[in-house]
Amino acid sequence: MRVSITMPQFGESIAEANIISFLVKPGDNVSADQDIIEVETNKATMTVTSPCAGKIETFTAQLNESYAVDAVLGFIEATKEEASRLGLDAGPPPKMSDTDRIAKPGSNGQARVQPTIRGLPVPANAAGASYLSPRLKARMAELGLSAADLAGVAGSGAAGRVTV
Amino acid sequence: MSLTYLEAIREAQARALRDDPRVFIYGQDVGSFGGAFKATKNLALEFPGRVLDAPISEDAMVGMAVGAAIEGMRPIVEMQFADFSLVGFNQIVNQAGTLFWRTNVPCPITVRLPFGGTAGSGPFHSQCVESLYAYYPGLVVLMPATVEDAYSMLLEAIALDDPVIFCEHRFLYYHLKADQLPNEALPIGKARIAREGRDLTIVTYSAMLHEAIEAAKELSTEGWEIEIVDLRSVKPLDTDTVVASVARTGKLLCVGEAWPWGGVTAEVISRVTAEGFGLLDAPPQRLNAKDTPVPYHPNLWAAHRPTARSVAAAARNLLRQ
Repeated sequence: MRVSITMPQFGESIAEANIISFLVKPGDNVSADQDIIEVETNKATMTVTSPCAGKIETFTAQLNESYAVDAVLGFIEATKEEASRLGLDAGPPPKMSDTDRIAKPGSNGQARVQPTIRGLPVPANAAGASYLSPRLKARMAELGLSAADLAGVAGSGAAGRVTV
Repeated sequence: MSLTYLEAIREAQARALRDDPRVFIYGQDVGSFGGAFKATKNLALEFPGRVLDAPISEDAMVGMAVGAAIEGMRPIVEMQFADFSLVGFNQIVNQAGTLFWRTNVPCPITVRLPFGGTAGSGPFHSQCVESLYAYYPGLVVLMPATVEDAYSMLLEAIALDDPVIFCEHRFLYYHLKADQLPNEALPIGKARIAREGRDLTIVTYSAMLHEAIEAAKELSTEGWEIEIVDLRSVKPLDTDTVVASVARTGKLLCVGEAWPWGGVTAEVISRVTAEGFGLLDAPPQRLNAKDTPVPYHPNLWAAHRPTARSVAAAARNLLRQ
């Protein structure tokens, strides 16, 4: 079964790499993860490793040429068992077209998020004499009092609110 | 004997050099010149080969100190101004701050940052950077407000195995005096009640402590008793002492000289609201510098940062709620 050797993704910012040398030649037997091609990126010299054990069938890549990530560099002849063990027997995943990847704007060309300009209603008792602070509520809960129990109390706080 | 905040910092460094052969000082002009503010005056003579002049690269200075710490030394790095430490920010937060967590090797460096405003210092020699460093895990950020704390906290910083950002307020360098050096001190991470009161809590640190104390004196003549918490260390932050104080007073005002967006004062309010909502009798407030670069002109500078007067005004507003 024919398994392709592809240019790996060496790092997030690396899009392509230059072939410096082949470390094995067609007809050689290789093991999985063996270094087979030496490449140079903008950052460092690295190696492409064999995807599986097998015999190098051919290198399609040329010396001193640059190849993009995922480009096919050659082929290995591997047993069916070896290829399926590594999940390499399926074809390449279908490529998305560029238009699929770029999100389309709304059909009428407007932004999809519309700003909210309506104000929210202000709850009653958020200020003034009837305002109960978190501290006062906590103290009332301790004493078992309800808001009605404060009805006759003239507070000393702002606008006559009861404080504690 | 009378001793300034700056002299206390020099004395602490002299004692650390005397007591521990692993300690050395590294910074621009710290050697025969004695440092931009003379915090290392005569130390190069007293300790030959251990007070070293650095090139004008904060990046290289901190990087060298991290390397020395890995090799078992305890470097003190002096920045000329806290503002310039941003040139070495990467080394501090990405290397020093993460070293122990990546490698299990401690990084006992102390970075001294002369920070904060004085009249006429302008935008590049006045900044408060504590919130930036406090944001990053792995760093301890100290803000001594007194001569005693400047001395004892610097000694503790040098002895600590973690990287420490030691923020020295330049306004306090010459103004603040004490009769003698302390023999004992609160540990790092504990806040101090600088003044007791029952009506309102002011949480503050560094130079703003002294503005808050002035404001509290003024408010006491109006019948208000203000409690003041001096954080001392903003990371770790002593939430327990702050929440306990708010439990007594029910009202919280946080005062910082740093800019208002996020930062230490916002963090204190966030924690008190989350942990002590039921203690609050009014919305917690904070007072910071204005959200602009620090101005040169003395009058503009005085309007830019919180002062005793603006602290008192903010406290009055809160007390009347």
